[in-house]
Amino acid sequence: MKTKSLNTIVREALLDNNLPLHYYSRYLHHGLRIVDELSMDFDMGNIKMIELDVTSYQRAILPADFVDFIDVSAKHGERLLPMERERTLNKNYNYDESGNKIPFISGLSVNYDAEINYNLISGSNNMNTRGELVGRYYGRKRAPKLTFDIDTKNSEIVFSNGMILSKVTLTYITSAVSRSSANLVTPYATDVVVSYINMMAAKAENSTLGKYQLLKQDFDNARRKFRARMNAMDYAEIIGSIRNGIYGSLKN
Amino acid sequence: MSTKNILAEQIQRLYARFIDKDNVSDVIDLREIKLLLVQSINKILKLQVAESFKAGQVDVPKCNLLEYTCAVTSESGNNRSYITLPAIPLTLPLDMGIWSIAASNAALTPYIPIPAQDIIVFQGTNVAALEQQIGYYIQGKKIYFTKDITLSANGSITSVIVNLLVSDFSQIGDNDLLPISPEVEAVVIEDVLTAISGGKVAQIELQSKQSQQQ
Repeated sequence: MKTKSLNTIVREALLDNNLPLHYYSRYLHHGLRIVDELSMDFDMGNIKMIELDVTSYQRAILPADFVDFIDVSAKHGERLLPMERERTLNKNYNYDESGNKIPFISGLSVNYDAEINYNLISGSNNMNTRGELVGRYYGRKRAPKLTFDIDTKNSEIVFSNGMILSKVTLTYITSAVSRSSANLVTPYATDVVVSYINMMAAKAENSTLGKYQLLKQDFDNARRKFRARMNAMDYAEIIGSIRNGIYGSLKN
Repeated sequence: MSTKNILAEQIQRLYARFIDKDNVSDVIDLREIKLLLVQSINKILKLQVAESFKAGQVDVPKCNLLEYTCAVTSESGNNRSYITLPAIPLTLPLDMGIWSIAASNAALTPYIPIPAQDIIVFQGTNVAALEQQIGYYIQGKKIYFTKDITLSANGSITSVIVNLLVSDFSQIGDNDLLPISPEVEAVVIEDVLTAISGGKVAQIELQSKQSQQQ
């Protein structure tokens, strides 16, 4: 995949402004800031997927570079079925008499539930391979019992008592900026990084308000173009999206 | 292009003929003029650079860049290495007096200059990693590298080529070409003449004051 190093982009910005290498570190700082910021909204190679072990007390420990989750999934053949987030799960620890961490006792038993198949995202006849309710259950509000929530205080994923898996797959966002290797970005980002550097450099140099505003306008336009390029949707995708919707219509 | 001797003699003649023609001693010591020449060139050099900066051109007069080869010393305790400055460069924004430093075998891939005021501030930030490149910064009479470049992992560098913006007259003989652009010569002459005549005037004023008091 074609990428462009941040080092090259910063040197190009220096050339644009007729500046010597002595401005490099300050320009690089601005470049790193905008790459870090863009990576919070766009996939700049900072979307990671990792398999986590579920602990004896029904939790999984988040990786150190975790910023936010995209999904927590259960493995089902070649697919990953996303679990639902349940914000009411208790994030406090539960301990046994010896002080060991244990899961909470569930208020719900899953054993008697006739809907266990789809509730547990187990891939039954009432569910398609993407974990969506189908057939006579289509459109029904799901009441899953295999749920999770993020415990930001303890950097863990909390699972509901119905958790029966020993591993889950976490897809999450981390920062795109690396300190242990040279940073690479998509060529789409070149313009937005350079225009941000120019804008911030003008701000640091106490430039006139007019010059700063022009550069800010340049940056806003570059970011708009970048957003459009990163979220491109072609004709086939739009048609495909509509046809999928028609296909999954209600059946009585 | 002129030499130190040519300029000094020209200044001597001008001084004797026009500025201080009434003085009994029409000859000023050449050694004095040569010292003033050196100081004047460095002063004008800095003014020249500052004016171009003001005009929005960030550049230095390349004919004043002197190249030195310096031995690198390891400072393993701090995981860095350093060289001792062979001459003190002009003080310019972002330490541009040190124009470039490169390994002897990689002249076109210079190390990254880091302004001395930034080096402490940006510790712990992402920019401190410098995209896996090696930077340098000045501290006193030494230039430190952000990594120990004598280590094999960093290229086993034993000496570096340093380009300094300075008029280092210890390297220039009286009859060697001066490393200044031709348009600066007239300004230098004028500046030295002003310095010499100013000194004379002050001396005469002092002597007359003393004679009045007596």
